[in-house]
Amino acid sequence: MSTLKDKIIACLKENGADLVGFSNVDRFADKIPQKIFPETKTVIGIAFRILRGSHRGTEEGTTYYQYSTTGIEALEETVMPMAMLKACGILEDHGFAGLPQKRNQTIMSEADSTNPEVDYMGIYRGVDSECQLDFENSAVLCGLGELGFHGTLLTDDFGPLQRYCFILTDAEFEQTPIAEQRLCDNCGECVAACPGKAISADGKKDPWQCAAYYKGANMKKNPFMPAEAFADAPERLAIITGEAKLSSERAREIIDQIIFYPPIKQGYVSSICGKACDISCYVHLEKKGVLRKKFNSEFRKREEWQLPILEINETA
Amino acid sequence: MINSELIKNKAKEFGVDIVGIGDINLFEGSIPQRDPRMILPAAKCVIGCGFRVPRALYHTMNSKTQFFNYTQLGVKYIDEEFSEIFLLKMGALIENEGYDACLQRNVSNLRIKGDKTTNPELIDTYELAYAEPVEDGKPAPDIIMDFGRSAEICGLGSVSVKGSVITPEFGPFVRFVFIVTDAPLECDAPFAGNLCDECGECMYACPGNAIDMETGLDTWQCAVYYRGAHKSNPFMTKDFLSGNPEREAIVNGKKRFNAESARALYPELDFLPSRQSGYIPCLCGKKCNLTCYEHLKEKKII
Repeated sequence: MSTLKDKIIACLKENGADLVGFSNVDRFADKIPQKIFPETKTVIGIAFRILRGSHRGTEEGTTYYQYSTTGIEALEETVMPMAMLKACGILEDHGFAGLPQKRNQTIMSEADSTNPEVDYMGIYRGVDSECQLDFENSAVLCGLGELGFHGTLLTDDFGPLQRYCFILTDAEFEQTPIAEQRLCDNCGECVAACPGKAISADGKKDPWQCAAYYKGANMKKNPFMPAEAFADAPERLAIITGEAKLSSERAREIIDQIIFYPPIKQGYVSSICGKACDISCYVHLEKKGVLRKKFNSEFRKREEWQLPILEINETA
Repeated sequence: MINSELIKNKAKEFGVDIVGIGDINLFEGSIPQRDPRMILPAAKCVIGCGFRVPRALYHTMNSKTQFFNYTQLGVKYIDEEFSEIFLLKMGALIENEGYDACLQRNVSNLRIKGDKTTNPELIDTYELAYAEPVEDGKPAPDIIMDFGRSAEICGLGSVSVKGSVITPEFGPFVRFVFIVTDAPLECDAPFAGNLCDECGECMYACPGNAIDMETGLDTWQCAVYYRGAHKSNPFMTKDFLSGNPEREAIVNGKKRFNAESARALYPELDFLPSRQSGYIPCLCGKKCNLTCYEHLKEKKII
């Protein structure tokens, strides 16, 4: 006879989850789960792979739509909520509470930060009273994986290619061991790959810098950018080569001018950088042979493409 | 071990109604911006899957009792939720076997560079006019597969005069998704023959005269009447376009629209909500597809 834990895992996997981990709430020194739901005894971490094939179009430079829709939006807005709601239903059927925790894409406690994945104008900042888990830390505590140099969760199966969510519950479960730090070797490939130099030498990501280049401010990696882009900007060359260091104000102005590819639905910005940081990390881990999920062929087939920097009015 | 039978069985288990597998080599001759080999150069086949749209959703529009559900469930939910859940499950199944799965859902709001048509189902569409190839030998992004041609290659149906895919099982009441993969699956034969007998029923049924038997569907004309510019729209009030000298021509489907004039009229065609989902409620009742379906049934073609 299957246990409640088995039923929860089976339900989540049936609904698209790939990894499930359990953490006793005592592991959470930040006490955020208890603040959100004081009766919390266990935090369930749930990871959903981003298909490697969803990145293929950006890697080839031929299709951008499918990564942002099937790799981000569909997982966050459709697949993960359904899986969590069904698992919470099972918990309730057994007399426990189940509180689903989806990443708030448009609410943050910081006064002047942003989330590159969504329209910066849609974000409510400085909101302290809407508690949110520290997603990266929580994933580690639930035993899903380790944090890489650039702050991304890395798992044995998928490297950096997954998204995740949580369920807080007053049910007690045997917890998953915390993963040993074994994947990230601080190679720095993520730092070098970012077309906007948004990751500093110590691995810290500048969210505004990231937002501008996520949306495609670097001409060398944006096939949709016309030559006349940023024609009036005094530091045009620095912007389109990824050398400009942007303040949050300037990043806003830059982002407003990147109108060459429409947003996808539900307020998500289309990723033109193709998450180069994560992809370079994946390529590195795959080459090292440390990922559990193997493919019949390596992801990176040839040297990365790069577009020329065009003068204003020059044709490609 | 992955094989065609497993893929087809799983696809049906995960919710599609029809599934076929097309040989990638049959895309030879496609224009590069429609060619799935440009998405995954090592691709061996394309898996084509169709979701039926319940025919009762068309009947309630025809009887003018309910319009909104067709768009919400028959269009938006299938394209935005159902198909994505399905594709991700299938993709995981394929990637678990070590093959790549490049999911191709309907790219509803984009048009490839040079494509000046629109999608009547959306608030508006965006042409990727500035796109340039990233390397020699590649087309300008995005590659957006020709779903009609792909359905034929996967053996699922044939493309009608107006550009809809007609299937033997559901006539034109189907929506499609595709997966481009390097998995070595046994392929189906492409669809043989043409289910469309060019009867012209779709052309006569369109309240906006958007279909021409020679040139197919005029998408901008369609977009205006799909939104309800015709007099058979039950939501239209007497004061619709009052004072507009072209009112009679418009409501009788006589005026011809292009991108500019269609977009200019869009704000007047706001009969049911669309802003939340981005999908325009269908107020023509998709009479083109309904008459097509009834014709095919009567002729025992489907």
